[in-house]
Amino acid sequence: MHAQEKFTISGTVTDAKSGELLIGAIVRSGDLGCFTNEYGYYSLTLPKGVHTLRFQSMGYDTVTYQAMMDKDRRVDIALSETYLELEEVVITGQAANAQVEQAQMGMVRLDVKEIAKVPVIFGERDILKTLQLMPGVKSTGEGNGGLYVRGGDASQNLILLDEAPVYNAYHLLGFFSTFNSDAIKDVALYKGTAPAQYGGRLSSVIDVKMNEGNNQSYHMSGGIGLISSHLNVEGPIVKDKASFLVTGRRTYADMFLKLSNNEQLNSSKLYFYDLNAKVNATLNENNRIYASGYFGRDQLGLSGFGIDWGNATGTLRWNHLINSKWFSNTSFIYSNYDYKVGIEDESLEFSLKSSIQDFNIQQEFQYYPQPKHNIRIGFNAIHHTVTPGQLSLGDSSDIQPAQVEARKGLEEAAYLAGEWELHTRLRLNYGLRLSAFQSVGAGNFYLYDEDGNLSDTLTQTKSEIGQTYGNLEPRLSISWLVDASSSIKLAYTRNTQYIHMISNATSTSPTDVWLLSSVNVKPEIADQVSLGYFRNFKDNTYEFSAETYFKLLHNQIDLRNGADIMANELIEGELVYGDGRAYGLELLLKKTRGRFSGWLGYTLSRTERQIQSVNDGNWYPAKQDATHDVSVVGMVDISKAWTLSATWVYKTGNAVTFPTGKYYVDGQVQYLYTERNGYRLPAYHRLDVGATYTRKKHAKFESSWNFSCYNAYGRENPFSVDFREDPDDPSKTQAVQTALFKWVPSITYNFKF
Amino acid sequence: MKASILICIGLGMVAMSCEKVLVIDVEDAAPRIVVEGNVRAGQNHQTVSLNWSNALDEANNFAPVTGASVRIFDDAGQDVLLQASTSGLYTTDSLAGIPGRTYFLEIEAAGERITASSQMPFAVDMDSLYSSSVQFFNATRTPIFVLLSDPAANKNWYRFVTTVSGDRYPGSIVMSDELMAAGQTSVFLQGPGEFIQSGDSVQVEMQCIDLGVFTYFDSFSSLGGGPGGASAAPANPYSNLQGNALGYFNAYSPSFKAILVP
Repeated sequence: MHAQEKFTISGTVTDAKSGELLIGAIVRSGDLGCFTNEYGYYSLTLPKGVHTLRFQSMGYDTVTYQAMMDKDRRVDIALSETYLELEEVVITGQAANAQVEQAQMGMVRLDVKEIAKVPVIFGERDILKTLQLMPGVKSTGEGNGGLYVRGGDASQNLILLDEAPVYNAYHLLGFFSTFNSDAIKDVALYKGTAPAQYGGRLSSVIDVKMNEGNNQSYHMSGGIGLISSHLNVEGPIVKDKASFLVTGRRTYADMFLKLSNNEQLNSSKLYFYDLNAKVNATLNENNRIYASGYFGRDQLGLSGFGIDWGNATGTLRWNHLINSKWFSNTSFIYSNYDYKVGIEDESLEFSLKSSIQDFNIQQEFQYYPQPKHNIRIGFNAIHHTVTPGQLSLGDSSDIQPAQVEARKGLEEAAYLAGEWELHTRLRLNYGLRLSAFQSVGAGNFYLYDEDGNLSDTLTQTKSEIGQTYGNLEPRLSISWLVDASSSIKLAYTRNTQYIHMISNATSTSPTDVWLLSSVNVKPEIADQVSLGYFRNFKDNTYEFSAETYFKLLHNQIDLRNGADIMANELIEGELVYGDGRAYGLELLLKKTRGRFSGWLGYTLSRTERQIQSVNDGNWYPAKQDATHDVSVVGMVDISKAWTLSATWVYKTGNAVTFPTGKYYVDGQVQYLYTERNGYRLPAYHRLDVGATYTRKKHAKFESSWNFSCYNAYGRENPFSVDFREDPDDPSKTQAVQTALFKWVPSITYNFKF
Repeated sequence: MKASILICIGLGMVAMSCEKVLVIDVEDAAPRIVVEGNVRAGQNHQTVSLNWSNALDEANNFAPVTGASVRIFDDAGQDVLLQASTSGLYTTDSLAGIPGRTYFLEIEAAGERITASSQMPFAVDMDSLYSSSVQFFNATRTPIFVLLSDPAANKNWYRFVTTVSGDRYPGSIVMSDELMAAGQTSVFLQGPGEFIQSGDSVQVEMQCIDLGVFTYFDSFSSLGGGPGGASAAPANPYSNLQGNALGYFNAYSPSFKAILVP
């Protein structure tokens, strides 16, 4: 007996109408199968003979293909969108029972089409806002876009746009994300359970992929809203071979301010714009290149005070098929984030500038040795330059602060990751990531004593390598298929983080300070264990999942009481370190198909920190700790023209520090504090409703009106609670809650042709 | 849609906010002793005031700590027990404040033992005071500036206490010489400017203080401990007192200047 001869069928799966590559489409022959990768590529090795292959993707007609496997074959397949009587909402772009079968857990994949119907503030659909409606993902309220995933903080999310990290993913102080949904193809969120090809942040990976652009015909789409407008143009450069996509967006909130009689308001500036562009070209059967970029900028100006900030990213990628079993991708990535705060008045001039810049090279090989096993091997190297707040006062000032040195660092990683079906019931995702960090470049590095006072200075020259760290990060995820529609999964993940954000505000702010690891600042490390039960009902129409997790965080950073972080050369002396722990239960019930669709999510969780100098070293709740978190999302097609939607969220109030007493010192009354985060803001809850009217489709032109109301029942959710003297009786103290919005209606007109 | 609604939405991005008073039930902090101890250079009259803290929902009348034993001594053999004078105020007329010496405070009150030390720095004189009227955020302010020549030889910390037409301006400003350029420096006294009007007489007391006292007053502003403070994690300031007490013990060298605002 000798082994049966085997041959490999490989190729790409695309959308027939647009030529867009389909991610996660299934290719199957009998019980052997695989999924297309993030570039729409598949490779399946089958025994010699005739095979009937089925190519499937949710929302598309299945294509059946007869293949005589007597040699390696290259087959590219185009799938047509399923025509439905009513415009049916389809929630996952993946295989119908992927959540049960795949070993991956703690993951959410969003279809951008689905997001369009979820009502959101100012009618601007938004992937990060929609992710906040998923269990395990929290926000800390309005005016703060930051995501808090499974007890992590807002700086522990790796947010990638076509592989480029986006350091500040928010516009307008958190009301919008930097992602213009027009340009987005796919969004995957990993709640600290990402496979080994991802790394560098503790809590989550949000992997956002841009569309490639239609390579069949030219299209234009856009929308006009009260606050913002957007336009998307795409089309072939060479039909079937090369295409482009350009998407722009501009808000004009400040135009309304001009109507105000108040001189201070009508001279204010308040807007942002962003631009996404991408081109791709298929050079030949085995080579394809992509270039994509993002540029966005926020401007906020209020009588002499101004702040502007923005991200710029660029990615250049080359897909190369080495042979039918080996796929290679090489990426060069650039990312820049910077901000400038300025005050300009007759007598006072002040500005603070800061930036962070990355150059990144990434190489990955994907190997498909057999249908039940695929392996990724890769490495990447990032060069970071962090320029902290550079303060300058006008020329007339007597005080000219010293300039804080820029810091440079190299972050490298090598990894191996595999997906392996050991048995029809047992699947394994395994991975190992070796990460390292070196401080490079010239500079003075400071050492501190226990109290944060400068104790020594180390001087490093340009060619020297300074503090070095290395970590091994194992990742393992196992699923056991109980039956065809249910499974149990268990996962362990370790993540490390070498770049840290320091914030002394209650919310994420464009002026947060980023720091590289150093002698003082050790890499942050997180270990997470999670266990879940997954079950689909009624032919995969309903999906249910229950996941529990326990996470330990090490080398967490907090500020010494009274720390000064702005333009402070000795900032590392202002930091204190401690541990964190987070645990919880996440329940999700989703209806993925039919006239009515939506989901119900619930999270029960606890997030705590322990820092020597805070609360006498006892565990205390982190500000984002919320015991209960509920989200309900529903969308219903009531006729061909109308779709209604509603979202309701409820969350235990954030943990906050309130004064518990007061006293008189230095000529004034001061508040007395007893414990950190010992109290709670009132609970946060809100209902958003929306309706979409789609005009009857003409041959080419389609348009829709979207009406929505954010905070429909006008709940005054706390933005902050401050204590002050009672204006009626100055000898008494009162707590005053500030809410940002009562209700916000909006109308958006969208079109495409 | 009516323009008014549009404006409302626009304003919402910047300013539309609704305030309401909440009823918040906090667990009342146990009353604590608040110490303001001062030893001033160049005189023998020294004071220590002792008061109790209140619960948050009580009025701003703070009860004096009575029957306390208050002792101050230094590293050169002076040692006095202060006498209770008015309620909560303990004084002496026989303790000389001499720069360079370290002063020690010892209090026994209501079963608590509170101790502290503070080293009295040598005086630095102010060169002059001046005021200037500026338009800032559409309002007129009259900030006061202090000109001083910080001696480069040693580290100095300064505290500025302002009196405007006889009323002490609440709070004080502290500054470390780390932020001062060599030679003459102008220090901007942020805060009081808001209240100063033409015709006011403004007196500034500049105290040379030690690091512990500087840290105490500096941490008030950065911790957001006071009314309107905006720190994410407010906490009590770092005190130089040992024991269960709030406040400070400050041995300092003062200098004075006054101007009439034109």
